[in-house]
Amino acid sequence: MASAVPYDPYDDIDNNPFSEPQESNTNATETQRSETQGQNEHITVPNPQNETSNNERPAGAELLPERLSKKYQLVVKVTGLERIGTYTHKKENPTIQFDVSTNVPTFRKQQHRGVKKTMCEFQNLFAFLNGAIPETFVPALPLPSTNYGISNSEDYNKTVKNFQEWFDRIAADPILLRSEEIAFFIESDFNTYTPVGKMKSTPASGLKRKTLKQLAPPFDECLELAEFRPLVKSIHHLSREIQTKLSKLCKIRKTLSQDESAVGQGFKELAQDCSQMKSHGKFYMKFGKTLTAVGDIDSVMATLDAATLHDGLEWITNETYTVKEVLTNRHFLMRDLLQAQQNSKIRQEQARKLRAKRDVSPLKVDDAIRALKAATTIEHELTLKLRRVTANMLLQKIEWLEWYDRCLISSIKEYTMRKIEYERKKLSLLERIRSDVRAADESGGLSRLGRDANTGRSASVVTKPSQTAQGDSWTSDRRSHAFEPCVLKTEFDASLDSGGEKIPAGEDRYALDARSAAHLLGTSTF
Amino acid sequence: MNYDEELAAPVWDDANESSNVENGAELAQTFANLSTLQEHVDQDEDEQESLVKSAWNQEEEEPLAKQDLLASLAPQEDPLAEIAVPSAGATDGKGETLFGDVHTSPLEVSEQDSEAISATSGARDASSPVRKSVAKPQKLFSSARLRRHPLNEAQKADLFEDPLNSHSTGADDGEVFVEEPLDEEEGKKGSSKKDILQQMDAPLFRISPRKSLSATPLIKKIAGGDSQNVEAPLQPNDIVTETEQFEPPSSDLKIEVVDPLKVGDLTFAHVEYTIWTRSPRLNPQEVRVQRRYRDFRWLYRQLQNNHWGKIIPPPPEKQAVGRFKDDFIESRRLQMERMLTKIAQDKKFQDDVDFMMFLQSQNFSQDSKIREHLTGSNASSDSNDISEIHISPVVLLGHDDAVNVMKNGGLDEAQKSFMNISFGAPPKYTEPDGFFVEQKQGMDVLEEQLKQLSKSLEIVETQSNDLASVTEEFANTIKSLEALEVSRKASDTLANFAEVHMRIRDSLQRSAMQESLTLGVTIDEYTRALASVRAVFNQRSKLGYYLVIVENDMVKKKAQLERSTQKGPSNRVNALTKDLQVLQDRHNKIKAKWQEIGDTIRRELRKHDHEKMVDFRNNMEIFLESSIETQKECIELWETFYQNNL
Repeated sequence: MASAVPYDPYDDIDNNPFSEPQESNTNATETQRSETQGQNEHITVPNPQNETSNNERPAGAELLPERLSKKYQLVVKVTGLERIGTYTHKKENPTIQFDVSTNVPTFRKQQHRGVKKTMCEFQNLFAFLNGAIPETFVPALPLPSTNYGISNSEDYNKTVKNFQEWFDRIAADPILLRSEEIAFFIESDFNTYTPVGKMKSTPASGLKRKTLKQLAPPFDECLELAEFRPLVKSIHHLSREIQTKLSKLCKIRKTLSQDESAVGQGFKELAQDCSQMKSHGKFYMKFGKTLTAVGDIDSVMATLDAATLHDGLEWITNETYTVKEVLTNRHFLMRDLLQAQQNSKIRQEQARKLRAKRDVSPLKVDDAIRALKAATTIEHELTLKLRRVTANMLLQKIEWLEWYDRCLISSIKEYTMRKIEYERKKLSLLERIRSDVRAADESGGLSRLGRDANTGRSASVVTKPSQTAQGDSWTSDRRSHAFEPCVLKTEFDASLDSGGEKIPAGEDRYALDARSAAHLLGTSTF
Repeated sequence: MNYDEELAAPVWDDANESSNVENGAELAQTFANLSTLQEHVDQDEDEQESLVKSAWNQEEEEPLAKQDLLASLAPQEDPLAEIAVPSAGATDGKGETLFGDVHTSPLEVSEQDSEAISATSGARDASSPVRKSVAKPQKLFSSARLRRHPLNEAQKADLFEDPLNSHSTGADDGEVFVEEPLDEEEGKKGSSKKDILQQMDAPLFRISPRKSLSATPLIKKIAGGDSQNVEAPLQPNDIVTETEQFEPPSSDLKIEVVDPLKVGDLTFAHVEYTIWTRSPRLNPQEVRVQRRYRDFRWLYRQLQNNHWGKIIPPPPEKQAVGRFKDDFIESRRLQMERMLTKIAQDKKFQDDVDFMMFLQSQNFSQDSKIREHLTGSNASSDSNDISEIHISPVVLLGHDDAVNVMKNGGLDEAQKSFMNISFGAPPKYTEPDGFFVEQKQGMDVLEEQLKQLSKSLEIVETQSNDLASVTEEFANTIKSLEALEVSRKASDTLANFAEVHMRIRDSLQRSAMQESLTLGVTIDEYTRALASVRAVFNQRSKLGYYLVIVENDMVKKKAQLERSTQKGPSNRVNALTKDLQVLQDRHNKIKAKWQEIGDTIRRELRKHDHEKMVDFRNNMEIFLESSIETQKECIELWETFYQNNL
């Protein structure tokens, strides 16, 4: 709140025909500020405006004094996530636990431990901030649950990580940081928060907003921002579209996986009834099982696709939506300003007319002057506000684009890594039955290639898996080093998976000898 | 490995070619190409190798020639190779050598043809810019090519270490000795002899303690060696290995069904296929004839008539709608080609008059009618169900007797006129042999399963095609997001991301096609073959039925004769004795046939089962190997993307 009406160096610019200094206005804000400080029971709060005033100011600094000082810090550490209650409640409204450490004066204490907030409270806060602070792009809230499905560790980690990121972004924004509402939010009891502060000027909403949006946007001096909104809008739409495509993809992949499993099932059935090919029963069985397992992996992949890229895009979509709306709010602000300018012009005109007249009742003059004063004040305020908003948004835009890049790439990265992991699992699954397929019968398999000497069913050949710590056998390229342990882990996971799946049939095959058992126990840390 | 290229080349280029029948035919040819004879494999290698690696120097070419010589001198067995097997390197890119199998391959291909193809594909390699531009996928297969260079010890050490041999050179420096990665090269190199000797001395199983931990912790059986060995196809497949029981499917007839052509006007439109036969046995060694689908059915019926109890490779099924769609024609072409190839592989069919006539006759419609009349096969009145059969009395009873029988309206017709008076129902034939009953039931179950399986496979295929198209949409949307150019880095990443997805779409389409060409085709074929098997059973039961009828007749005739003889000798007695004689003859003949057919069926079933097993397994193997390769490609795509962008 303290920041809502900033220090204004142009206060003394004379655009008033009556040339009266605007003392009252500044004083009013000044007093208001001191009042709020008094409320917060902070003994000495150096006014950010005061302390920065003696510094050399870069451009726009006078509009955005908060950006100059880095002295306030808010460190939030998300420590946990709770999902309780009914399924939808679990899914939609988890409780986030976090520790806070800060030196922002709006807070009553410096340390808050184990703060718990529900998703609803977060949403309330977000809605308020979004409306009350027109200058900044309030980061969109992360999704309450991921596509991993609730109640698993991946979902937990991911959600916690997302909230952490959200808090970090809040803390990184100096304007948001100084908002009292953040303090109210954090210091309120669990599940009791509702927005405290009053929105000074709620942006148009509902039908009015819709109608206003239909109008052509007012002329924007700031070309960058004028271009930014359509960009964000198309990002929003395209992300949406990608999301739908991706869900379609996932859906098809899931049905495909079912059908693959059906094929596997078909082979299993072949195994059961082929009385004349007893020797092949087991072989068909394994083949079928592997196909089924491959199908399962496909379905897992579909889920992961959704969980990684889809969720990432979801956040981007939400974010772009907020940004777009904030930019729309700026348009409204511009419109308001235009109106105010017009208004003050009319008032000025009136005053001038009055002055030209001979016989004027002093009452009328007073009225006119008051109206003019009010109009100019409003115009002035709006001009300042717009300038401030514009300046901040210009800065924010850069940050936001960076965030967008980061978010997009990180979700693509995650997607890719998951993809690689599971494609590798699939490969290792397939490779595992390779030797069986080849050694299916003495008279077939490798013997066709003239290598029957040492390939009996008793001593079936084991092909070496093509992916090892040393890299992949099919390429001489070295994998990036960061990925090396992942490869091994993948393989390990895959063998565990299939081991689980194949317990009924493949026991003899996947049985552990002492050594690999020891090895298994030794490395199963991830 | 150039198999890869053979396999991949037309598919990669698919996008460039107008997709007509030609396209599919080429695919089939590529497929066939995989089964080329050994010499051509070598030749191909040479060609391609020289195209790809023009920088080859003399020392390398010489050993290759030597290897050729070696292959030609000792084509059957290379004892060293078998010793080398257990220690073969873990280069999985070599799995595709499995495709090189000649005898079990679904398609036979001629030598000239394969040469022509390899030449064209070689030319394509050199000329087509598309292939060159697709750099990443090529990288997938680069490993084999790399190893073509003679590797010095240090380089080899870089490549990988063999767990099996690290002991033989000393446990402490396990990395120094490295197994020859390509057995193929052993023939070329002087040093290989030493390696082999070393391997001979070395124990078969030797697991270095360090390696075994890292690589395969869970797989218990660390048996000797790697099953992928490139050397194997270099040795022509020994016939004896195929089976001791059955003659190997081999034939000197090279049959191809090519050039489907739509002929006739609107009402009589049909597709004619050219059958191209080459064989040293034929008089002009190369024959081309035009046949339509109906003629294949005729051949099936005719063969069925000529060889009772033999399981005839079935023709494709009839289809009324969509007969002129390209992919339908292509699949039918493939099916008919397989049918002819399979027929040609059977010794008995090879000499069949009708088959030969089918392959050679230029005036088929006339000839077929004559043959049909001669054998009484009734082949052209062909029912939809290939398991339905017609027993020709001519074949059953010999010409003279058949004429008599035909006059009476057939064996059972004659009976019927009797029966209507005497019995309510015709005599029933019950199969005395449990074996056949059991088999028949087994067939039913199997058919059900196969149908189910092929349905699932079909669904999978359509699904993966759907997946491919949605992937494309997805990629396109990503591209449009990229086009916004929000930031340089994001745009680049998105562009590559979309690119990867496009590639994956290609690979999906390819693997779907592969799947349907291997598993799908085989399952389909054996589903149809089951009908053929059922036809054989029907033949037996029909014969059995005739047997019962004739037996009945005989009993009756005997009773009549006895009654007549009691009355005293007369013309009637003579006539009856004659009739009885005829019936006796008939009975004996039918009985003999019936027993014969039983034996044939047993033998045929065993053979059929065996072939089915081999075929299935081969196709499963191909399927598996190709999905492994696809998987590798996929991983490679993602890895490359990851490395380059993230």
